[in-house]
Amino acid sequence: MFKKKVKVSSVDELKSFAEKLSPCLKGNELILLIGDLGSGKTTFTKFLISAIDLKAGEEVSSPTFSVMNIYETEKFTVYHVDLYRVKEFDMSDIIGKGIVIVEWPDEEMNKFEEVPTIILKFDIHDEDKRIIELDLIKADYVKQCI
Amino acid sequence: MIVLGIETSCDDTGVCLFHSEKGILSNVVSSQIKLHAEWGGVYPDLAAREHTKNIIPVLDKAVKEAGIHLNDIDAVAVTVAPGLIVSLVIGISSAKALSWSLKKPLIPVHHIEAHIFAIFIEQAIQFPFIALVVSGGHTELYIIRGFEDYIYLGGTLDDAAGEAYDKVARILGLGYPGGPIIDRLAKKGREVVKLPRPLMKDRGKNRFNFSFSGLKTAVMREVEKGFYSKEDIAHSFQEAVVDVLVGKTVDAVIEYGIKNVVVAGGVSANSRLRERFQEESQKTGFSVYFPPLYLCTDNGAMIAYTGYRRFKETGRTVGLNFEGKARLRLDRFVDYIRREAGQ
Repeated sequence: MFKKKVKVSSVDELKSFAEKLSPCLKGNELILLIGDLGSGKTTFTKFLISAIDLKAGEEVSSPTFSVMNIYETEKFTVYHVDLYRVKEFDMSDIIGKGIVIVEWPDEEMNKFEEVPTIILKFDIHDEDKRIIELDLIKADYVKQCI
Repeated sequence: MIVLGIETSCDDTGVCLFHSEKGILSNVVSSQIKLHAEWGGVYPDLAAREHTKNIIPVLDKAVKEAGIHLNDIDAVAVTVAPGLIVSLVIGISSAKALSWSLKKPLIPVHHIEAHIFAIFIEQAIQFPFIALVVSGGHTELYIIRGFEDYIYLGGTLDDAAGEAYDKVARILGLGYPGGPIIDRLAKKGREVVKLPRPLMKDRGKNRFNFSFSGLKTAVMREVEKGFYSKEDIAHSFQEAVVDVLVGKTVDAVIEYGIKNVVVAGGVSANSRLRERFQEESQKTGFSVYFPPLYLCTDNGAMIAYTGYRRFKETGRTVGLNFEGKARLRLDRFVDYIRREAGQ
């Protein structure tokens, strides 16, 4: 398991971070986004998907209400899941079939051992400053992009 | 003719029987809000199970209250997009079963379209009009030039207005759903802090788009400072949301020279939003219409009516292999059913 802390001081830096990360994605990763309301999870998702496919990025919005949004990018399908108001969500149908991004994941979600998992913890420091703690599980190849 | 309408796209199981001459014969809604509050969240599988459990009793009650027999129904209309797919499927399957067994046409209806046209049950609005649809899951602005003639102007880039209400209510430690609670609380407060009006002055590509995510963060910051009362924060937040919703709609009215506005969806019940729209309509010179409260939240009546309207105006129906969509913008929905109907 690989760990790293990344400091971003502005929305633009968050965007750069997402843009740097995106070329390393193979298309079957599970990305867990942890952090309080307003810490930048949906914003990060929008930047990440825009970096993969600009047009698909425009489709990204909060899935809090819809629970799951699906975006078709040029490279792969992205499942954008939000468990903010949801309990028990069965992901077995989608896991590994595309990039699965989960906001407000529950604790047991890194148990998909076969799937490369990227955990990003967003910590709020001041208005636009965020410390992002990054854990890679079976996804060491992402290291070269961050 | 009599159209049966089914709505299961979200928390509510709704069935209505609509008569083309007599209007609504019955409109039964069974809500899961209490259930979700009790469990502190939605279990998608449980939500689907609840719809499964509710659909037949709700249907049965609607038919009985209407004083008709199933055989009297001339068409079946159902919400096919957008929504929680596991929930949508329950309504769609039920509608297909009824359509097949009664040998009556199956009419697809878009949830947002139904919210917009709900008002026609009570009064006809002249085309073209600007439609602002605001709810827990949606914040969208359209020009409605006629039935099935929709131009998408913009929508939210992140959170829906209703979602912002719910999340701010959570930040303030209030209950669910947040809209009515904040609306009530805001009346006792003042605008102590000028919160951001996201994208309000944007004249570029986001001119008719919305963003409420940053506003939510700004509220959180104020709450953390601990200076202001919940009432004052609720008031300041509501002023910001309403300013943006009204501001963008009025901008569209002026830009496109349109004289009528329809505000629909759950958030259209908000008292401050209604008040501000009334003020602005007089100032700018347009007419604003809100559906009656019983048609603002999700219900089967808006589905039955819109289905009736579709049948009458374009006759577009679909077959039993038609599939619902979790996400589908209203203007694209028209293309989708046109293709499906082979027209």
